[in-house]
Amino acid sequence: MYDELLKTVVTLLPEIFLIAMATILFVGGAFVRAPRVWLIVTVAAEVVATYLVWQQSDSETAIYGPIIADQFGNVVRWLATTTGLLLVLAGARTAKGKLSTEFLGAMLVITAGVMFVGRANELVFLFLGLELISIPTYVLLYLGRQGRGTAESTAKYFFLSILSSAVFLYGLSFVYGLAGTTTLLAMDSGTATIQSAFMAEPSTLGGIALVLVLAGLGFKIAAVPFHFYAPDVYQGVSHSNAALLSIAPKLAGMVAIIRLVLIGLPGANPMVWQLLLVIAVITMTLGNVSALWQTDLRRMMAYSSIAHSGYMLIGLAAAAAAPTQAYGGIAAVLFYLSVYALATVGFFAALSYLGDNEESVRNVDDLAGLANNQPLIAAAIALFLFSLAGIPPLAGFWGKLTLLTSSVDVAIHHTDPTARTWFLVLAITGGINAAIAAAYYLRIISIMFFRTSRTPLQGTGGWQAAAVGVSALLVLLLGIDHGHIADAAHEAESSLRAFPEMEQTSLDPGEAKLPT
Amino acid sequence: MFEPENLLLATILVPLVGACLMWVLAPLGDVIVRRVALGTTLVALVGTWALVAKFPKNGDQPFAVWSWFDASRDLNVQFSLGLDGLSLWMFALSAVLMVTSIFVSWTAIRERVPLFYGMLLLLEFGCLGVFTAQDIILFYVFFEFTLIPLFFLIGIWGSEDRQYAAMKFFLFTLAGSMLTFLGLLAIVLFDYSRTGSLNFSIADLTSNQSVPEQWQVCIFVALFAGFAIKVPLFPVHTWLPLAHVQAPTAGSVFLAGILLKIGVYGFLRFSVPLLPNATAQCMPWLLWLSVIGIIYGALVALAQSDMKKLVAYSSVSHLGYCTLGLFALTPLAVQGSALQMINHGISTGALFALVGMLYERYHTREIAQYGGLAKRLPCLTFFMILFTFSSIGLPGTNGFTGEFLILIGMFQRGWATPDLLIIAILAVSGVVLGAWYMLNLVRRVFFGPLREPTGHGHDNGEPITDLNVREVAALLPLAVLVFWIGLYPKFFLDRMAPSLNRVTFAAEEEVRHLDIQNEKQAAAPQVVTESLARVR
Repeated sequence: MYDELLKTVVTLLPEIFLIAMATILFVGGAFVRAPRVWLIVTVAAEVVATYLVWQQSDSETAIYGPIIADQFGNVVRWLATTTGLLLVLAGARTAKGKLSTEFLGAMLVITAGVMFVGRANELVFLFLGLELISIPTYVLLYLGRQGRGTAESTAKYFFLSILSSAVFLYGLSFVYGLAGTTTLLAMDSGTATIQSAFMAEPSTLGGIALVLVLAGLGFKIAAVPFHFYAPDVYQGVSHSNAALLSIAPKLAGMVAIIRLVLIGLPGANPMVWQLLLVIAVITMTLGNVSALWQTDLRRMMAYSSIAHSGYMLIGLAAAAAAPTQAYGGIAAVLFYLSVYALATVGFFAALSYLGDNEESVRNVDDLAGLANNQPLIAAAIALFLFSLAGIPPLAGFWGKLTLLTSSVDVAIHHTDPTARTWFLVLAITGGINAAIAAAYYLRIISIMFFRTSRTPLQGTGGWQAAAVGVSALLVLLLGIDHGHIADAAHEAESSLRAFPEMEQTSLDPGEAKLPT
Repeated sequence: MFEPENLLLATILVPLVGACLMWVLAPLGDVIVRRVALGTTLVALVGTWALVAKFPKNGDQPFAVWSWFDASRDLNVQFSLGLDGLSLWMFALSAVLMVTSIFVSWTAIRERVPLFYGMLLLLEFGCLGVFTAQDIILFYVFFEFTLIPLFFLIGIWGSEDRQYAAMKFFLFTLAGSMLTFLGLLAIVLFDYSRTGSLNFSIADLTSNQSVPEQWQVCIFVALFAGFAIKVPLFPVHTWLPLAHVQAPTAGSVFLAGILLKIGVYGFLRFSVPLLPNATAQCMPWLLWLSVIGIIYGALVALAQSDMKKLVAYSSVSHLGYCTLGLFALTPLAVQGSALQMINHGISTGALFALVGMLYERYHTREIAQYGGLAKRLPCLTFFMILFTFSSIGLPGTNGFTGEFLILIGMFQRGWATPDLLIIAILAVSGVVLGAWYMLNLVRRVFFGPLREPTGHGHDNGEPITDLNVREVAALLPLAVLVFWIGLYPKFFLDRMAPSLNRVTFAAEEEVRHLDIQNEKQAAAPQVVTESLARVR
C-alpha cells in the first residue's frame, strides 16, 4: 500500500515539485517584492523539472492509479518543461512588472498541467490536467497588458473556454456511461477499462461521445469550426501571451486527443478518421488562406497556428486510419509539436524583445528594415518563419516530412480504396497548403529584409534575447540532426501501441507492418 | 586525406565555410570580404577539377561516394554524397560559374557586401549538394535550400520590382516542389511495402523498381509539377523572365546556368529511371510541351526590347531542347540533352554576364538605345559575338554539338514513331528562330552607326572603357569551354555516356515495348543508324 503510494509520488516528482514551487511563488510574492529574483527562481525551477523528467526518461511502461508512466508521457513532459522554460523567458517583460509572481506561478502550474495531461490514464485526471492549463491562462491573459482590447480578449477566451470544458465534460459523461469506468488502460486484460469497453460494436452513443469530446478538444487546438476566438484573442494580448496561447493548449489538446480518442476509444466509431481528416483539410486551408490577408502580426500568427493544427490533424487522421504503419502519425504529431513550439515561441520572443506595448510592433509593416538595424534578430525571425514554412534544412521541414509520410503511407497501403483516395487528397492538400503558408511567412521576411525603415526599432530585454537565441539554435540543430527527437517520438508511439488490446483490434491494419 | 570521397566532401563544404567566414570577416571591410569569397570559390574550383581528373573514363557507378550512415535510426535519411556521369559536369560547371558570378559582382554590388557574398556561397553550397546527393530526401533538402539564398539575392540586390519577383520565384517553385516531395515520398513508401525496410538511397530505389504500373503516371505527374516549374517548361515559365530581369547579374548568371538545370537533372535522375513506364506513356505529351516551349520562347524573345528579357526567353527556348532530347529517349538525344545542359549554362551564363557588364557602363538594357558599340567596346563585342555563336549553335562551338545530337536523336525517334516526326521538324525551325533573334540583337547593339544611351553615362562622368582584366577573367574560362566542348566533345561524352545509358535504359525498353504493342516499326532505318555511327 505505502509502497505503491511511494512509487506514485516518485513518478510524479517533477509535477509535485513544479506545483510546490508555484505555491511558494504565490505566497512568497505577497511578502517579498523582488521580480528579478523570482524570475531566476522560476527559470531554475523549470530547469530542475526538466532534469527530473530527464532522470525518469527511460522508465518502463507502468500504471500507478490514474497515472500512466510511459515513453509517450515522458516525451510530452520533456516538451512541456522545455517550452515552459522558453515561455517564461519570452514573458520576462510581464514577469518584471507589478504582478510578477502571479505570472511566474501561473506559468509553472500550466507546465504541470500539460505534464498531467501527458500521463493521464483516467478521465477525471485528464480533465484536471486540462483545467490546470485553462484557469491560470485566464489570469495570465489579464496580466500581460492593460487596455480595453485585453479585457475583451480575455473575457472572450474565458467564456468560450468554459463552454468548451462543459462540452468536453458532457462527452466524458457519455464515455463513462458506456464503459462504466473512468480508467483508460490497464496492464492486464482482466480489468475493465474504457479501451476494452469500446473495442466492441460501434454504437450511436459512442459516436455522440466522440463528437462531443472532439468538439471540446477542438477548441483547445483551435481547429475549425472552433477556431473563431483565436484571431481576436491573440490580437488583444501581449506577444508572450500569444505564444503561450498558441503552444500550451495546443500541446495539451493534441496529447488529449491521442490519449483519449486514438488510444482510449479505438472502437467508438469507425468514422473517427473521416472526421479528423475533414477537419484537417478545412482547418489548414482556412487558416492559411485567411492568414494571407492579415496585416496585424498576432492576428496573422493566430491564423497560422490554426493552420498548424490542421497539419497536425493529418498525423492524427493517419494514425486513426491505420494504427500500425511505417512511420506513424502519432510520432509525426509529437515531432511536429516540438518543432512548431520552438519556432513559435522563438518568433514571439523576438517580437517581445522588440517591444510589447501597443505602438511598437503591431503590424507587419512595423518590422520594415529590421535587417538593417537589428540584423541578428531579423535573421532569427527569418529562421523561425522558414522553419514554420517547412523549408529545409530547418526543423520544420522534418516535421512536414513525417506528417506527409504518414498520410502518403495510408494513401498507398490502406485496404479500403475510398480511404486511399481521401488520404491522397489529404496529402496533396497538405502540400499545397505548405506553399500557401510560405506566401505570408515570406511577406514578413521580405518586409524585414527588402524594405527600409522609417523608425528603427529598439530592442530591449536580455531574457527574451536568450529565449530567441536558444530557440534559434534548437531549430537549426534539429534541422541538421532530427534523428534523436524523431527516435524519441517513435518510441513514444510504440509505447502507446504496446497494450495487448491494440494489437488484436486495430481498426484496419491494412498491409502495413508493425513498426520496426 | 586525398581520397576522392574526402575530396568531394571537402569541396562541398568549402563554400559553406566561406559563407560563415563572410559573417566573421564582415567588420574587416568589403575588400577583404570580396577577396576571401573569390579565394573560397577558387579553392572549390580546384577541388572540382581534381575530382574531374580522377573520374574514371567509362565507369557507370557512382564515384567517390561519401556516406554518413546510422543504421539504428528509424527514419534513416543518410548524408550520402557521390558523383556519377550525370552529375559530374553540372557539379563542375557550378564551381566554374560561381567564379564568374563573383567577378561580375565585384563593383556592381556596393550594399551589404558580406551578406551578398555569403548568399552566393550558400547558393554554391546548395547546388553542389543537389548534384551530389545520393539520398532522395537529401536531394530534396538541397533542392529547396537553394531557394533561400536566391530569394535574398533577388529581393535585396535586384532592380525596381525585386520584392514581387523574389516572392513569385519562391512561391512558384515551392508550390510545384511540394507535389514533387509527395511523389518522392510515395516512391519511398512503395519501395517499403515491397522490401520491408525504409530505404532512401537513390541507387537502391532505382534498382528495386518497386512502383506499380498503375501508380506510375500519377507519381510522374507529381514529380513533373516541381521539375517542370524549375526547368521551366512552357505553361509554367512565367516566373522566369521576371526573376531574371529583376535579379542582380550574378543571380541571373547562376540561375540560368545552374538552377534551371536542376529541373532537367531531376527528370533525368528520378522521373526517367524510377518511372520508366510512365515516361514511355507520357513521352508524346512531354515532347509536344518541349517543342512548344522551344518555338514560343523563341518567338517571344524575338519581340523583346530589353536585352536581359531576350536572353531570359531564349533560356525557355533552349531548355526546351534539353527536355526534348531527354524525352526523345534515344541514346544520342539523351547524351545531347545532357551536353546541352552544360552548353546552355556556359553560353547563357556568359550572355547574362555580358548584358550585366553593358548595364554597369550605360545603366540601361533597352536594345533601341544602343548601336554600333563594336567601335567603342571591341573586346566586349568580341566576347558577345563568340557567345552568341555558341548560343545559336554554330559548328565548332559547343552549342552545335549539343543541338546536333538532340536533333539527330529526335529524328531517330521520329522514324521509329512517325507521329512524332512533326515534332522533330518543328524543333529544327527553333534553331532558325534562335539564330534570328540572337543575331538581330548583336546587329542592332554592336553594329551600324554608333549610338550611345544619353544621360546614362558613368555617374561621375568617367569615360566608358572596354572590358578590364577582371571582366576578361570572368569570361575567359567560359570561352575556353565553348571551344573545348565544341571541338572535342568526346572528353565530356565519354564520362557521362555510361551513366546516361544506365539511367535511361529501362525507359527506352518501355518505349520499345509500347511501340511493339502499337504494332509499329520499332527499328530506325538502316541509313540513319549508319550515319549516326559515323557521327559518334
